[in-house]
Amino acid sequence: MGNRLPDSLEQIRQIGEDSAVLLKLATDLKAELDKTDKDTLSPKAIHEAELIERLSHNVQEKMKLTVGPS
Amino acid sequence: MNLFKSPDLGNRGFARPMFGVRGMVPWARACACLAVTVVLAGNAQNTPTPPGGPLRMDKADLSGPANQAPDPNAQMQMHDQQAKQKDLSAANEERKRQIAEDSANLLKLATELKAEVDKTSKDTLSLNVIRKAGAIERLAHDVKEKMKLSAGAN
Repeated sequence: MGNRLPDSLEQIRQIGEDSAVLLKLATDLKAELDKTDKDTLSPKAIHEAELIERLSHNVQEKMKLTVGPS
Repeated sequence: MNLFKSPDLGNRGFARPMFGVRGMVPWARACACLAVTVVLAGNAQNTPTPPGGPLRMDKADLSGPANQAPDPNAQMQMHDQQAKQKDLSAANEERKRQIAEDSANLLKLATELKAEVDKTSKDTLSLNVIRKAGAIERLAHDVKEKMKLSAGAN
């Protein structure tokens, strides 16, 4: 129990960081799509969507680990 | 010097030409005829002849593709192609509209997730965070796939 608490706190901190990055990526993606005209889609937008997908998966898994042990 | 007088004929009261074939043909006329002949012969040699022999204007060539009636099969294929192109661009437009909508949702969910995580402590762990992160993951995956399809269609 003594070891788990700092781990949980560290994971919550990491989740907080990841969710901030996630928000930034989602904002960037939205901006990228807004400025893209109807005939061109940038590879950057696809890359950002992929990052969001991976990061949200990580957040989900970390949160499950945090909820699980406590 | 009188060219129309022969030296051995003396003065007989009429002149005879030096180069006359018969009677009174002047030498100048002979020269003119010669010049005309030379010019006409030169022109005949300089006239270009098209490859394959001289052009024949008596029979028009109507077998070219421009003069043939349009092939019904080709026309049908062209119409099919145009219809497919139209459907494709309509689907593409719809997909792009969905991408824009999904990315707006993604931003909303990410904002909510951040707010949820910020109020999470070691004592209050939120299942909402897990649900929202899962929703974001699925949505981001959809957006990515739709964008790939749209990029491929372009």
